[in-house]
Amino acid sequence: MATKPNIAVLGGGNGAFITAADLKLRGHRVSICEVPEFENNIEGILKSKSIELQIVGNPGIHGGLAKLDVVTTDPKEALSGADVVLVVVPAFGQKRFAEVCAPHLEDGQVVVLTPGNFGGAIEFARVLRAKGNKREVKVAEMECMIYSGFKSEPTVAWVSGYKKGLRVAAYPGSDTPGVMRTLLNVYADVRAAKNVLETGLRNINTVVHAPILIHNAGWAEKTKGDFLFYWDGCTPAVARTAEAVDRERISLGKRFGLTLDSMLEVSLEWYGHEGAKGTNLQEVLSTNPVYAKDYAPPTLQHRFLLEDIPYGMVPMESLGRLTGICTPVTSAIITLASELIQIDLRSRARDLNGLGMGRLSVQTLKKVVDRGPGR
Amino acid sequence: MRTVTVLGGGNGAHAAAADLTLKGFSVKLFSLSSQVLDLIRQLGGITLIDDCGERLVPIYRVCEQLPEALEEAEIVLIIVPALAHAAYADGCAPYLKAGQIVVLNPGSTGGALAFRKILRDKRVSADIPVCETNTLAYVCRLTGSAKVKITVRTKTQFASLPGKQANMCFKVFQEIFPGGTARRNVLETSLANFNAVMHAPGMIMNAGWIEFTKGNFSYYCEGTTPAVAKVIDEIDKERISICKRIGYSSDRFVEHFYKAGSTSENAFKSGSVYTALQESEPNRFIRAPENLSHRFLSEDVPYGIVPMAYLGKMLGVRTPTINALIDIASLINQTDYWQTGWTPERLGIQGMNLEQLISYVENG
Repeated sequence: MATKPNIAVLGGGNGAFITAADLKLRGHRVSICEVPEFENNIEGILKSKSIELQIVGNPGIHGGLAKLDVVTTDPKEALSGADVVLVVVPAFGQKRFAEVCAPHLEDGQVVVLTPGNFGGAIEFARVLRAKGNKREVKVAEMECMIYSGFKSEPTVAWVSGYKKGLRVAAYPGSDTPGVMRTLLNVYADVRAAKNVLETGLRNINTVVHAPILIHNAGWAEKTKGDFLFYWDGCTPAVARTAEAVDRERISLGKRFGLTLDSMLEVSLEWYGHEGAKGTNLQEVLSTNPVYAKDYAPPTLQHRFLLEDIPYGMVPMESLGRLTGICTPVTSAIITLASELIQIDLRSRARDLNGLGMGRLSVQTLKKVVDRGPGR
Repeated sequence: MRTVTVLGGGNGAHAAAADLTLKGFSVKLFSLSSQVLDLIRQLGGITLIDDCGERLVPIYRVCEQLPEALEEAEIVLIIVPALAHAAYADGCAPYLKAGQIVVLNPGSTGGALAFRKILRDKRVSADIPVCETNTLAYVCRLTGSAKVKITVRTKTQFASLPGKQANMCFKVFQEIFPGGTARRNVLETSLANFNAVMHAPGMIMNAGWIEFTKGNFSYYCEGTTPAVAKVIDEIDKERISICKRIGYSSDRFVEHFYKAGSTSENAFKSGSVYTALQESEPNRFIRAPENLSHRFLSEDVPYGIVPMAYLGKMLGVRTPTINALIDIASLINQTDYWQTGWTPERLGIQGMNLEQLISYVENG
């Protein structure tokens, strides 16, 4: 392995573009791969292979024109020679990428889902196994995406935030040290989490996105998102709901032997270096420089509900049922969101049942995430 | 009947006192808020603004004390937020006499039941029917000191507790408020609390907008977007399920809204909650509340959708969306509305099954 690991970025959206461009500018060999059905995401860079990375505020990374090594819809081409495979897609796209990658993985590769969302690494590993993958790969996930930003044109990406201290865990947990050894050569600021229950439960997108959007649903729909999501939308009452979901999340963590930081603490750890500060959640979110230009979603059919609920809040609710911890606020948000957008979000969820772990006890679940299934 | 007692000091009480005076009744007005009465005395009456113009209406008697207001009253209109019902029940209990009827205008969800429970606890021996309407008899707002604007005179639903005295009570009620519909019993009027159905979702789904801009948008027109209207529709469906379980079929929100004169025929035909609110002329310019402690939550949750949810629980009807709104409302306002609101205990109906409940509201 080169000192700078070779990177394969899977995905073609906001996060994938930023990831590919940033790592190329830092001197890694970078390939980017999108699945054929979403080829239009990378159409703009197929010929030029260049992404322009623009910086807003002070994320502490450099922008520039990144000329990628490979831009393709062929996973074999993208994965060939890669040391680290970063899966940067919405949660509902992770399974598809596992399916297309399975035949082409190489021994020793480290696959990291950024973020995992609850159960991401577990699902990915299960699919690899089901598709007959025989290669020695490690599968891990980050608690959130390391960048905050977006794609503004087919060839331009913007970054306003860079999270420090992001937690990473492998599934099974016993692979985490090996993953960390490699990953620290890509992202020096990440830290190991105990297991994927911790990374899954530390995804605070789950805790803030849906509550803030539900409490501003009329505003978002009427004005097509013409207000700042955190700066304007996270008022004291709105923050109370997010904090209540946060408390439920922390209680769940306790049952699995995890001492989870509060959302306030995580926000300050991630973005303190960019000027985030405050003594309570409302203060931190509504003044965080990283969010200075973050407008609200223009529609309620948005990943803040469509992704963060089925892949975040519903799993929390199912963990609540398993552990006997009540999650009334989480459940209320799921119910209201489902009515608002007329989609039964519970039926779309990747919860414990969806991961084939619906019948496990708390003790067994803890063992499985640490050591893997069937051991 | 020539004399009408009006108890209350807010929008509705001002509207009724002035409007009924203009209709030819002698109104005896009393409010637990004495500043309101002082203002009316100082200004020589209440200024009423409506389609006919603006005029100063002197009030027959602006009473110093509650007993004075109740003396020889035939009908006692209590026009206050549900939160204040208990105080008026306590205050009136010693002075109510046989032959009088009390009308809570409106009763929210369970007003008559809660009022009657207090009268029973206070051992009021006289058989006083406690009646309620499902909404205020006016769409109105105070626009200044002792000055009220009436936009619509609403035809309300009416019921008495006990239901068996409905005919007699409705006859008296119609002398002052003609039009309107008599319902079988107060369960029907209580469950026709369309205000609660309409208000709670908008508050929760616009909590940020309200707090950040201090209500700088039009509550019904802008705040009730298609998605918010879906939530209103869903809690309306849960409400209708409760009515069905009790044994009658209720109008949907849109039908009611149209019949009450609040929206267009086009909206009624469309059946869409969103359209009904977009085409609601009387509500077009109503600004959103400035903060979340407004009665759209602080009244319509504990005295509106909470008793609905409890009725649902008692009768085996699931109300997941209503429950979710109550939980979130309680959280953001840091008050457990499940506890502070009209519980079955406060309504005097705890532990009843359907048969017992119907028997109680019919017979008292």
